[in-house]
Amino acid sequence: MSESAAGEEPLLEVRDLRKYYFENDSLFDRLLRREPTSVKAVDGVDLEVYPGETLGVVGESGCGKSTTGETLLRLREATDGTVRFDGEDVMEMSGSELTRFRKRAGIVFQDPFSSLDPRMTVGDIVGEGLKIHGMPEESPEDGRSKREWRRDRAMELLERVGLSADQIDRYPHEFSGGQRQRVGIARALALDPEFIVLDEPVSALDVSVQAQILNLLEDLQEEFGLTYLFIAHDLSVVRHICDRVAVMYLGEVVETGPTDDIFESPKHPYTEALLESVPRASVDEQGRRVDPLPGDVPSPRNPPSGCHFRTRCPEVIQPATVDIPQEQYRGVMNLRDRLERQGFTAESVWDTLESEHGGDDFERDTVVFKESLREEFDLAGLSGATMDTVEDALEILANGREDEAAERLREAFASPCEEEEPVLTGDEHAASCHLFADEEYDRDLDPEDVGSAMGGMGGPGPSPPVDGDVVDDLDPDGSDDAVGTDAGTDSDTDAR
Amino acid sequence: MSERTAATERAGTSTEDGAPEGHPDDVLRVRNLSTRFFTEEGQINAVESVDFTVRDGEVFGIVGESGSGKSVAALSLIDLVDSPGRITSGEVWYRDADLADEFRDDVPEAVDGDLVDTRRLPEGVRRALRGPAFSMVFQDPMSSLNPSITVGEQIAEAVEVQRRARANPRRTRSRTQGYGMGRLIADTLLPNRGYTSEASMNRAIELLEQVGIPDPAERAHEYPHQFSGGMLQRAMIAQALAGEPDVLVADEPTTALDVTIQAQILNLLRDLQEEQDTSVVMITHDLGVIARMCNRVGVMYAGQIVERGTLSDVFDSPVHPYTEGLIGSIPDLDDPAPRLRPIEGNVPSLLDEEMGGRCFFADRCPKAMSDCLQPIPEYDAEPGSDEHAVRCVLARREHSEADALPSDHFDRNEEVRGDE
Repeated sequence: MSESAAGEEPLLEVRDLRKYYFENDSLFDRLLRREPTSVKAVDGVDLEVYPGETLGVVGESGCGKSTTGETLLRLREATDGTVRFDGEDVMEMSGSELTRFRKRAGIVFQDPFSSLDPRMTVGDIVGEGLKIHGMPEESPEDGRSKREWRRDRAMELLERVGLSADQIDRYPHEFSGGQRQRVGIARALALDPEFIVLDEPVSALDVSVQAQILNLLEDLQEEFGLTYLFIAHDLSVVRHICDRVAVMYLGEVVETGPTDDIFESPKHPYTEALLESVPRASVDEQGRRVDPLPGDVPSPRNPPSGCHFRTRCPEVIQPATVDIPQEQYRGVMNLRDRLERQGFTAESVWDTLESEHGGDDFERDTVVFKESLREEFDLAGLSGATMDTVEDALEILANGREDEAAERLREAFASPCEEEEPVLTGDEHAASCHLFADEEYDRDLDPEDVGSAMGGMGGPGPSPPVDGDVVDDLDPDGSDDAVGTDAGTDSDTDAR
Repeated sequence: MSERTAATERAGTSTEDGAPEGHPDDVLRVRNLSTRFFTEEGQINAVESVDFTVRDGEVFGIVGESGSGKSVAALSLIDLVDSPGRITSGEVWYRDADLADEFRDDVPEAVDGDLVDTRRLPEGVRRALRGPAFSMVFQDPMSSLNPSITVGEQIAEAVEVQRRARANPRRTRSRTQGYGMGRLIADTLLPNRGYTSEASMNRAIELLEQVGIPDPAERAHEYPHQFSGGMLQRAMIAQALAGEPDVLVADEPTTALDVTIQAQILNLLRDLQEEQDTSVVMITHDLGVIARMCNRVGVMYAGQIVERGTLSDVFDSPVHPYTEGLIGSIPDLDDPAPRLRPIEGNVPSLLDEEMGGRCFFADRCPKAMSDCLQPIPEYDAEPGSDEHAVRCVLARREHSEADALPSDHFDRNEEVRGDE
């Protein structure tokens, strides 16, 4: 979304990249007329990488960061979206164009133990790319054969990455993890690329070796003017090596910006939680308690509607009609989420209660049932109308009508976050969160109803009915509004 | 003279009488523990004369890189080392007054006050201690649980073993121990010969709830593949808690997990440790996890604890160049330092014939001196608390250029060996 910081053209520009994997998609399934279900590994990612910089892509496992890296190099075919490398559309390339692209963009894989062919010597591994691309094109002038030239080049590269040239005839198993990763880097450098995707290059290594490799990567970048896309889950490594960072969650970029901005003033609640969770290696860390994000990352088979992060978000926005403490709202949302998406049943609560009370003589008492749920979901402190609604829903649930209970809660507590997907807003430092979309296109919520954690919802389009004085507040922000919306539509058009 | 042990002998067969001196709160005192693996390639000294103590209700951290012997040290502690590995020497003194009374007459050399040297107790007794005294949380929850048995049943099994052990101490048999053709046939023909009972299953559900698994009654009947990584790790912790252990050994409990899930598990471990006053031995390569969780720390390198002390001894005033290097290698999240200061070279192989009688870190050490070419005992280190001890000559003397080893000292040795 961001305009170029330095006013340059990006070397790599990714727009609305999507990669879905399909299940139940075989001939047999089609004969049985089963609908294919999709796993949305990458779900609309926008990135720019400028020449000479390192863009970090961080996220937890399963967020689609590696798939993004491989798809934008066309090692996997994208489902949708465009990737432009130096102005050319990578997805449209074929034949010699693609070969030329492969020479200019390389990759270093995560696992140095499985990404090197155990039956080739490291010399062959490093030189393989040269051979495939027919290098050298002409016989060297000093009378060496092409083969000798390639061998000398491989030796040179091994020396450059900190191995010794006389190790050229050894096999990968003779090297340690760090040394293998150096071989992988030498292989990526062989074709003299401009752009390298580094897919977790240090996560399999010990800290002392990791630091060696990070220093090597920095040196190489300076020496050869390389541009990196650095994929990692370790935030301290990202902080150390990257110029800009994109944070991913469930197949989407939730926040992007210059490294210092992201680490010092994160906007998105997910980024904040990630930073908060990392244990620091210093004495001050002792006994520090973090408030971890609750639960697990939802399955990409069935990502939550609206903002993907809303099921774990500590700052989820309450609807205008509700004003309760955030913990209790979170509790209500958790209960709803479990009912709607995770197949939570009243029966399982009864089972748990039964085993707690040890045996068959346990009588099913609705009061006990409701009490245990109130405790589990932190609902005890509610009062007034919200309490009545929740009590009602619990009563319905105790009678085994899960869908109805969920419906009841949905009516009263539906959050703006689940109705509309947020878009990346902001210039250089952008976040896709309704809390920030707020500033751009404000939808009026009575300030008294709105806690500090609340805001409007992003983007135009279908939205729940709100009071009549919407227009009042829209006007002053009209210009900002246009910027935000434009950005959104632009990327849509690009995608088509 | 502040040499604490006679660990200088490499064979490490010192047998002193009585328990080593220590703090009155020590629940565990380990002295001179050595574990070797006898492989085709030669003898591997995975753990080399390790000493440490664990106090009641504290978290003791062991930090080191892969191959430093920290996991084997943990396995040795609870006597789970498998062939071709063997614990070749050492004492593991464990505080248990009842156990001490029981063996005071039979095995007097294994008892000192309330402390009992578990290494000198009979095999069956050591086995019975696993569960109520020591238990372990393993690194990879995906491969540590049996994929063909429901999670609840696996935990119930651990509960059942403890229940039977309480009824009849020294006779703890797991489901698979002594499982032969006869029992296989009997189990196949008689479907109700289940190992677990309803009571132990209920206890398992209670444990699952205690470690924060939602819908425990339902989840108990699911198989490990239906759990996420974080949930499985919680289940593993529930299993380890089944015997209400005094010492919980957690071997890289969060390494396979994402940071947000790691934060959940670390909070859980801390809560359980505080509630139940358990002592925890926390093994990890992550200095951040050590910093958050531990009171005292031991740094392992090449099978030895090279430096130990309180958290601030090790983090703020490290003496051993390896500890310094380790701390200098990690990028700081709050301050992007311009350049990392890594330790050059790689972790040594631990093969006996390649180790030699010297400081094992000397070949990578930026401050190696001629004094480093002999075995180094553990010295008291000056800065920091009384606990601070280090296996490095720098604790006794300053580094001086005059004694420094030439930078190619070890390369030359290697060539000489290669020529032979």
